[in-house]
Amino acid sequence: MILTTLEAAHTLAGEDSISAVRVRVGGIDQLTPAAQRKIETIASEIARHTGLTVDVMIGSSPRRVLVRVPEIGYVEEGWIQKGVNVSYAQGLQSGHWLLLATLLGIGGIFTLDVAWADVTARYRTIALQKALGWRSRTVFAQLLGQVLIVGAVASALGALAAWVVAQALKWQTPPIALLIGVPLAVIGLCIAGSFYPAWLASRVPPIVLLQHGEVRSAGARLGMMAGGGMGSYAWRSLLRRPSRTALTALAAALASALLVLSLSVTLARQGLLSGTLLGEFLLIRIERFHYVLVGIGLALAALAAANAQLSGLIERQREIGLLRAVGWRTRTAAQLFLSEGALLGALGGVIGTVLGGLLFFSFYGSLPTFVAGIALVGIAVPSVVGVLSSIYPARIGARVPPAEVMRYE
Amino acid sequence: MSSLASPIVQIEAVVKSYANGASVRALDGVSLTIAREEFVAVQGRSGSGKTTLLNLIGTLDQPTSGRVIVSGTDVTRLTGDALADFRRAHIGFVFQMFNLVATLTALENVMLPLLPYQRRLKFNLQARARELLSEVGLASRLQHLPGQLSGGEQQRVAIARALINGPELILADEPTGNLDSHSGAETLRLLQRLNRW
Repeated sequence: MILTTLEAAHTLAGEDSISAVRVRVGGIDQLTPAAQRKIETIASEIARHTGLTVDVMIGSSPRRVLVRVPEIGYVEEGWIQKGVNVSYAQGLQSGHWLLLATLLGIGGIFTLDVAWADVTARYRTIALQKALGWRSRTVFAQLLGQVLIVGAVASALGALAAWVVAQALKWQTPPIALLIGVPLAVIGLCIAGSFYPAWLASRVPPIVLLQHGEVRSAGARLGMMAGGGMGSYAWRSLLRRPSRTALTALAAALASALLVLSLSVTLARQGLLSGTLLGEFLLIRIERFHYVLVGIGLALAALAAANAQLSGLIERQREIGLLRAVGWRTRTAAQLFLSEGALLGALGGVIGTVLGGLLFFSFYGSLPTFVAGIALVGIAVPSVVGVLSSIYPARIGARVPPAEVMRYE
Repeated sequence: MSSLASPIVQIEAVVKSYANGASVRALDGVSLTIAREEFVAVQGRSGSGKTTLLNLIGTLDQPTSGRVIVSGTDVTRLTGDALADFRRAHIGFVFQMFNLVATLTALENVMLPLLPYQRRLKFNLQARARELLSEVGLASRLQHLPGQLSGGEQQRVAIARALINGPELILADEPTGNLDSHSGAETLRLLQRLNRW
C-alpha cells in the first residue's frame, strides 16, 4: 500500500487508479424516509454528472485502522468498515425472521389448539377405545398420525399455492430448498403442536364412561364479581379450562403485540424500526405487508378461539340446554358466547399490548407517542376479533334445544 | 287467562312421534288434566314416554299433534323466545342429574335462570336466592361449588333454582333417581312441603 497523489496514481495505474470514491452525505442521523429520499437524489445527481455507477451503502462508517506506509512507518487511517452494508442486510433479514417466527408461533399455537379441541370433543370416544382395550401408545399414535396427515396435505397445498402465486406475479421462483424446507418446517410444527394433546389423549382414563353425569371439578375460581352477571359467568366459563384459554389468548396476544409494535413504529418512528434485540441487530421498515401479517395472525387467533368454543359446545350441550330450559332467550344464550369471545380477545389484547409496548421500550428506552391510543387499538382490535370469532359458535350454541338438558346418555 | 279454578296443566289427545329411521310413537293420544296445587307422580317402565310427557308439559318440546295448555296458555302455539319467556315466567325444573353449572357457586346456580334479566326484576335476585337456599337448609353452603356438595345437597340447590322465578308449576324428572334412599326421601319431603308453601 502506498499513499500518493492523484496525479502519481494516474501515472502508475492509468484509468484504473481509482476504484471507488466514497461520498458521505452529511446531516443524516437516522434513516428516515426523508433522509433516504435525500440520499437517492444526491446519488442520481452524481450518476448524471459523472456517469459513474453509484452504490448506496447505508451507514458506512469510517473505522480507525493502522496502515504501514513504507519509509514513513505506521499511520492511522479512517478506513471504511467492511461489511457494514452486509450487517444492515442481516439486520433486515433478522427482522423478517422475527416476524415470520412470530407468525409461525401463532400457527403452532393454532395447531396445538385444534388438536386439543379434537381431544376434548372426542374425550368419551377415546375413553371407549381405552375401555375396549386400546393401548395408550395406540391412542397417542392415532392422534399424532391424524395431525401429521392434515399438516402434510396443508403444507403441500401451501407450497403449491406459493409457487403458483410467484409464477402469476412473475416473481423469482422460490428455490426448491424453500419449497421443500417450509413444508417440512410446518409438518414439524404440526408434530410439536399436537404432541401435548396426543399425550393428553393417551392419558384419558377408560373410567370416564362410568362417570355418568358426574359434575366436573371447577378448577380455579378467580375474580367472580359480587352479584354475578353475564360477564362474570362468561369469565368463569373461560376459566373452566384455564390452560386452553391461556393458549388461545396467547395466539391473540402475539398478533396484538405485532399490531402494537407496528403501529408504534409507524406513528412514532416514521415506519423504521432499528435496534438490538437479544444481541441481534434488527432493522425493519414497517410496510403494508406487516399489517397483512398482523391480519393473518389475528385470523389464526380467531380461528383458534372459534375452534375452542365449538369443541367446548359438545361438552356444554346440557349446560346450554339448561339455560334454554330455565327460560334464557336464544339471544341471551348467544350473548354468553359473544361475551366469552370478547373477554378472550381482550385478555389477549392486554397481554399483547404490554408485550408490544415492552418490545418498543427495549428498542428505544421510551414509550411511543400516542401510547394511550395505540394501547386502545391493541386491546380493542383483538376484542372485536374475539366477538366476531364467536358469532358462529354462538349461532350454533344458542340453538341447542332445551330438551337437551333431559338427555342423560 | 288463568284463575285458581282452571287446571294448571291440560293435555288434549297429544301424539308425539320420533322419525328416527322408523317412526316411533312415544305418546299416542294422551289426555291429562292436573289441577293447581296438585302433587302428581307419573310412573311407568323405562321407555314408556315419561320424559317425553314432561318435555311437552315443560315446553321443551312440541307435540306432533294435540294441544298442551299450561296455566291457561296453549303452549303449542308459542315458538322460540315466547316459549323461553313462558318457561321463565311459569315453570321450574328439577332434573335427575341436578344439572348445576360446575363453575358457579350454589348461590349463583340458584340465580342462573334470571341472571341476564335481573335489571327487569322488582326484587333483589341475590337476596331471593339466599332466602331460597336457606329455605332448603343450605344457608351455610352459599359459596360452595357443586363439586363440594353431596348429591342430596346438589339436588336441594336445584330445587331452590327451580323456585327462583316463583313458578306455578314445578316439573321434576326422576329427582331422586341419582340419590341414595335417605337423600331421595328427604328430597321428596322437601318437594311436598314446597307444594304447600
